[in-house]
Amino acid sequence: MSSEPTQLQSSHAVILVIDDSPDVHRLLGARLKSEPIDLICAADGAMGLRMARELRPTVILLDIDMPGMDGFEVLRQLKDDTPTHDIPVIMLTGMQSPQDKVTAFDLGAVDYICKPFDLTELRARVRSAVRSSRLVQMLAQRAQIDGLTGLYNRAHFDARLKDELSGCQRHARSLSLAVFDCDFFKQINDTYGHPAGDEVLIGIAETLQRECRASDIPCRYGGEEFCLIMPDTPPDDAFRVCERIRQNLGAMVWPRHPERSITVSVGLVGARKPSHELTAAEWLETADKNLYTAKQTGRNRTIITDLMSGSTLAKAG
Amino acid sequence: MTPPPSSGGSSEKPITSTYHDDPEMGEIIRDFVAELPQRIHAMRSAFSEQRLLDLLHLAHQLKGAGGGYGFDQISAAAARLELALKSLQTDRAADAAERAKVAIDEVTSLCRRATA
Repeated sequence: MSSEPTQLQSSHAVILVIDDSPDVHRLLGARLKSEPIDLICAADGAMGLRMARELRPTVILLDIDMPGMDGFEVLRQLKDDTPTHDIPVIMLTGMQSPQDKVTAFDLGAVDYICKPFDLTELRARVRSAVRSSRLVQMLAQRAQIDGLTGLYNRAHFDARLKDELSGCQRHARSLSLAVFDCDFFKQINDTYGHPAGDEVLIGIAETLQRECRASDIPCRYGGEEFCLIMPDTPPDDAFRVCERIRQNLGAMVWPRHPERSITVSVGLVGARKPSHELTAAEWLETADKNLYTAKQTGRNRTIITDLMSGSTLAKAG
Repeated sequence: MTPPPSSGGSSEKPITSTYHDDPEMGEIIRDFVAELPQRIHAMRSAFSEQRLLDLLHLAHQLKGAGGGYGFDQISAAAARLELALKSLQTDRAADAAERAKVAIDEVTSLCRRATA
């Protein structure tokens, strides 16, 4: 699967402290030492914004009264910026007026702690913000995950293909996209029942995940169709990846029905330097046309179009 | 620079951090107390040279830090100094300057009595 921000892979929450006082950094370091967190510090608002965008911390502790950019402006920018919009921000400040508190909450802060802070209260509030952040993150991830196979779902695929295409177009990097469709899936469902059909879909998803590279993005498009986005992959390399997946699937023995083999047809499209003229929808349409051709010409094969040369090749199993 | 007035009796008693027996705080309290003379020097220099914004910044930082290390009295005195300096910014009257001087002497005295 594709790489995610560091903190998703770490069991430790990452807390970013944005405060111009070295004392606050030192105090928080001591006070939160026993917590399962990684503490990182920024000495001013601009540095804090940069670190928040790059590191995507679990929670931000933010001072208000700082020279240069004050905490309210930092908070406004964090909430205006998509990558940092959902990071919970706790204000940690000596400013105690009700108006300051109202302003902070109106701008999107989740909590407000006054200095000097009480140890027990600080720990409890940070823990609570970490818990909420993880819950929100889990829900956001689940909304992008297919419930049956555990792969990314259609919504994620649509957004991700646009992002990857745009990135590859901007930096003149290669990209390939494959659509896999299980052959005779309706027949499998009709003959062995839907639970057996579900097992086949799970098996295809597992094979896709196992056989693709770390940088590839396997998704369930819907029904018995799966997609594989392959960033930084020219069409000939993508062809080899798809063939390996297709052949592995064809060779699999299904425990419940060893007499039955499962095959897939594959529509593939790719370019060494994707043109700015083709949209994500047009890439998908080309892959889909190739899938249709693979089905029409006997199934269990890969049809590929190289968008740079305009050539279309077929490989049958 | 005028040295702060010495006050006798119980006001000369050392003050200790409310976290003095907290093992996770011991080292940083010692560091904080060891750095207090430099802070006082910086604040009094800023005051005598009338660098009000610098002094305001230092007072603000000490206000935020003192209580965190368990020296609430230092935080409270630094807050009074910050308030006096803010009023000095808007009111150049002699009594505003006098209030600021009293406040900085109070902060100085408390910081000198602080022990780890």
